[in-house]
Amino acid sequence: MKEIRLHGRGGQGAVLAAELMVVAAFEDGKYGQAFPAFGGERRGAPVQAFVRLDARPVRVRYRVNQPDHVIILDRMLPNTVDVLSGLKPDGLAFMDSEKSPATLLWSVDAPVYAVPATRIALEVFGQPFVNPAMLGAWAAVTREVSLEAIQRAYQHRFPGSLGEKNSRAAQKGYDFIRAGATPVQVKKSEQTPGGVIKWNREEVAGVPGQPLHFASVVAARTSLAYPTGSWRYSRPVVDPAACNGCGVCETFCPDSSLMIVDKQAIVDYGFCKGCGICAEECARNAIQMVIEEA
Amino acid sequence: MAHGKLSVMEGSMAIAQAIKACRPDVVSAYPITPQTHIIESLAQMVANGELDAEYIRADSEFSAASILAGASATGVRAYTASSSQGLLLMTEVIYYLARTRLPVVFTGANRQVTAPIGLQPDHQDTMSFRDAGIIELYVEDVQEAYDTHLQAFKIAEDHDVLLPVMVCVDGFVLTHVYEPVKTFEQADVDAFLPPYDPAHYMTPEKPMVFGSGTDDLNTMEFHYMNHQAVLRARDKIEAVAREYEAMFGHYHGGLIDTYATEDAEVILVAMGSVIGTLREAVDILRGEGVKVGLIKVRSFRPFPTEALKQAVGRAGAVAVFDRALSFGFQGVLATDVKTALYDAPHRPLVLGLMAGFGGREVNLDTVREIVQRARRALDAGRVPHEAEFIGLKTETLPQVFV
Repeated sequence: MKEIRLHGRGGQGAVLAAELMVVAAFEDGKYGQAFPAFGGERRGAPVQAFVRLDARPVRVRYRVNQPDHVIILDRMLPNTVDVLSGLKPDGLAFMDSEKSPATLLWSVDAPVYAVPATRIALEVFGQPFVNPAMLGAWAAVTREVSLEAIQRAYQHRFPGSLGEKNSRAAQKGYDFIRAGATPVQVKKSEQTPGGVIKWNREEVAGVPGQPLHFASVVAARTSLAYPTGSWRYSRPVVDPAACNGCGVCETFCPDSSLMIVDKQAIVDYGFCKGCGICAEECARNAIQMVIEEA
Repeated sequence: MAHGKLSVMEGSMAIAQAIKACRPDVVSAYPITPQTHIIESLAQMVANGELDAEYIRADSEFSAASILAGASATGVRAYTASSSQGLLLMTEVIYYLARTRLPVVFTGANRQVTAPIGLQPDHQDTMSFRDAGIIELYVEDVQEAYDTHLQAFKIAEDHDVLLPVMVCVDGFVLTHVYEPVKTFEQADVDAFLPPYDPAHYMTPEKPMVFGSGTDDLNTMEFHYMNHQAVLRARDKIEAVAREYEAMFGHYHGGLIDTYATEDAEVILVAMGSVIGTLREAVDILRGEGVKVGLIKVRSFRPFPTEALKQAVGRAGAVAVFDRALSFGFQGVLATDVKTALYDAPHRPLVLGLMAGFGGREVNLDTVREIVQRARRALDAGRVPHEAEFIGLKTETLPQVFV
């Protein structure tokens, strides 16, 4: 049995990719199981999905804690999530990145294939739908599933031109590996990915590190213990010359991550999820959304 | 035998396909995670014209269940799905449906009960209907979920039964998993499940009261009749499962299913999606020479008393996995297993194990630990605690509870 864990952000298609891996494997004559990490997932939040592939029906039903393969759909994720947690000694990782993954935070030594899935997706779709290229690359390396089965799975799921584009993106990911791409051997970092959330503002029950409250009571403002800034795909950047401190952005920010200080809008990047509402609402166009870089 | 089509499908979609094939006349629901994909799919089918049913989105689960009571009382096939608080909000109506003998089918997509709020599965929600007078069936995988929904209407609508049936499906673990499942042609399902032939129903020309006034004169008699109907369902559940097997080739057990129990010293008893993991664990442990077996309780109500007694045989210890707790007493399933085995010819030790609450992972190591506990109990000749909490993180508890 092969066990695979996919890491991505809500909206990137980690769950879809997991589903289509099983559809493709089934077409190739294998059994399988795909399921998401369960919870109230939101766009941009770190998400996981799990896949098991086997020659016989899969019976166990718990998370993949010791994956053979890890597929990472977001190049910034390793710094906040321990994506290689439990990776088997001979395990492999695949990440969407054009840069060397060596500088990111890793919890174990492992070979990581950097696949230019975002570039492929932008070429094919004009949008960062990274999952087909990643599955193509994964199939090329592991041979767990044929490229053709993956392409048919996408075409069946998205009839018409969208399916064709997905199929083409999967082919490009596959070709990238077949052209001779080799994995980068990443080393265990001194710093831990994600790290421990520090909470030292007050003694508050219900946040990590505190004992459970006997009545499941949680104090106000515990959201401060969950910095959501890493969910961001793009960040609001304020032009101080254009901003007159009117406060419309502060009013509309759904996460209180933007406030007016001395007639200037200040963004709290620790919590801003990059929704872009402030930029949309600003009457003076003083806020621009800028794509985040790893 | 019907051939069917094997394909990879999400659990919720497989359930929706099964319900569609059962041709319900009325579907009424209120969305709640994790059952929402089921009723969304059914709503889509009605909107597309694939399913000829009245789809009524209610303003609460209480309303949804009440709408189905009204619909079923006119003699039509009715269905809904819910979870957790949503099921609890239906409670009053579910008791009513049982005593008015209206055979509505429910999917209980299991989810922990608030508070604290969570989305993960355990059985506290559906097992709280233990005493409502309905039938409850628990399933282990997507195929069994599909098949059992087809069986549910047939059991519910049998004139010897006429009771609501709740098919309990672990939320997320089964509702959101994609795996191969065989679905069948409409004509084959039609041959298995004939149109509903109601024994009692009202029309504008023939008005009736469902749930007549009663008092000390008759309440006991109504309870007795409801009780007898649930008991009669024991044979019906088994018969329908065998009829299904003859037609579709799938058998997941009747009231129970057994696995490697014949010479077992330790027998695991559980319900729902954990069964697959337990089957795998039994094979591994058997390979190591450990005489362990498994009983899947498929029908929680009616409870399979006689079947359990027989299946336990001469086993020394029975370890019950409980995902519902009767606070101040012990695990709900363990309580029933103990009661059933009280006068068994060879009464075993029974361990009540709280495992899998709020979706807490039960993996192969968990099973190994539980089997070790059972063997220690066998050596000691006694069970240390009537309710053992597996994997309890005492370090997170406030000081006063440690």
